[in-house]
Amino acid sequence: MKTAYDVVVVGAGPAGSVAARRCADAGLDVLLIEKRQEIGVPVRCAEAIGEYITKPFIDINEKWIDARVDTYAIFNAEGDCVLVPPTEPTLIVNRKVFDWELANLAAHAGAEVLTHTQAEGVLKDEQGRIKGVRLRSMGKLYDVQAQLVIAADGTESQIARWAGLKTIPPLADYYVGCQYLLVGLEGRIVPTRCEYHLAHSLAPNGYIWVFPKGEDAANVGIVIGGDVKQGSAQDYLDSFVEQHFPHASRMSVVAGGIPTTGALQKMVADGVMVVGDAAHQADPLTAGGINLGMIGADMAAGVAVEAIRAGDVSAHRLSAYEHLWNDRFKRQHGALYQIRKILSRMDDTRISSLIHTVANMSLQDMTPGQVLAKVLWQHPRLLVEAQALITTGLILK
Amino acid sequence: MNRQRVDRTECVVSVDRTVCLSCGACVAVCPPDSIFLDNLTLGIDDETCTRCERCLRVCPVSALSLTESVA
Repeated sequence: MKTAYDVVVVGAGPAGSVAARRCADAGLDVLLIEKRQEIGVPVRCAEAIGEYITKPFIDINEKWIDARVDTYAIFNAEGDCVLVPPTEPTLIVNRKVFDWELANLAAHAGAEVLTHTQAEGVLKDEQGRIKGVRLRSMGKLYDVQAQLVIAADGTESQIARWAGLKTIPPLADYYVGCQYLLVGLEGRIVPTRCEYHLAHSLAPNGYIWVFPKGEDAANVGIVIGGDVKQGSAQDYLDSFVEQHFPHASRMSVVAGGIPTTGALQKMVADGVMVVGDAAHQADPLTAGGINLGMIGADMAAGVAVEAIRAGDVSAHRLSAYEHLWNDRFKRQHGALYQIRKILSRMDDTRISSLIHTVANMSLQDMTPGQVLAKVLWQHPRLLVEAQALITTGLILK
Repeated sequence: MNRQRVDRTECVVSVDRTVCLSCGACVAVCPPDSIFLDNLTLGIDDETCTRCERCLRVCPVSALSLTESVA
């Protein structure tokens, strides 16, 4: 480890590794640190990514693909199910290998990667601008100067807070989740199909997923609203697993929280940029964040490289990154956020009958327009709620 | 023994480390930044904690509880 770098990236998940690699590719001197002993574990994630949206960041390789998904099945509590094709091929990845490969790409681009190294604080100049990080690596403290710190340190980001950014979400805009990796599921799952289970009785203000990882294994997880008063995410997940997979074995348990607002209002400060989960870059409806985190990191790194070359890492200059993000995602995420709110307000009877309505349609009638027409015909009161979507600018394709 | 109502300020948030997965869901919602992960172990600063109980609400595995202080 040196005493000064152009960029220090804190956190070696997908967002941190993409940011580090992009900066190193541009010729910057980069340090990428990870507090855990090993890159990629524990996996706090359902591990689903879009193939096309991932390609710019890593060559698609079978060694980190556990399943290829061609169908999404959305269930109500009664077991009715709507089959929906994904908008692009979905891959269920092995995050341990996937994250390792991304960090490896950063290392090969010239970034210095260090595990079991955590940020203990930030270094500031007299004006309060961040000038580096205090690290603890294998028990020793180091002060490392940096022109720019990129915080990719997850939902619980300390760097963002130390930089004075507002990161605390309202509980209604927070998903809390728990996931088991279950095996012994052969014949109980379809290895090419992702399942969603949608009902407040199963997952209040959230949903349950079953994402295949081969013929026999699946990530079975849940998110519930952070404002739910009765029961924990694990309680609800246990009930589901008991009912659906009573004889499965549990190979891992993970948990976590995910803000659902789309992204932080402010993702930069003087000398600091925040990316990935740390910047709340997760889908407001599904809470998926791997692809969004990588895209956010790529946008941030592009702005970072130019800012460092120009010798200006002020918040003002770095805010170009926020504009890039908002131009691409603000409208879309606003609409997804509204959909989540509408689903949260709906009672189970209505959610259930919606899914039942669509489940009874024949496959050739399943264009989005026809689905919408049928849904509105049978559930005219939805028009009132659809208004909320239209005002947020959702384009129903 | 008198069954007096326990004042919340006499309580502390405590973590059951046999349950906690160090996931950080509580860290992200703590307004005064009183919960932290140090070397992947959850710690709570009783001095700054306001006993708002947001952490208890969001814990995915019910590892946190408000217990009477033994001070």
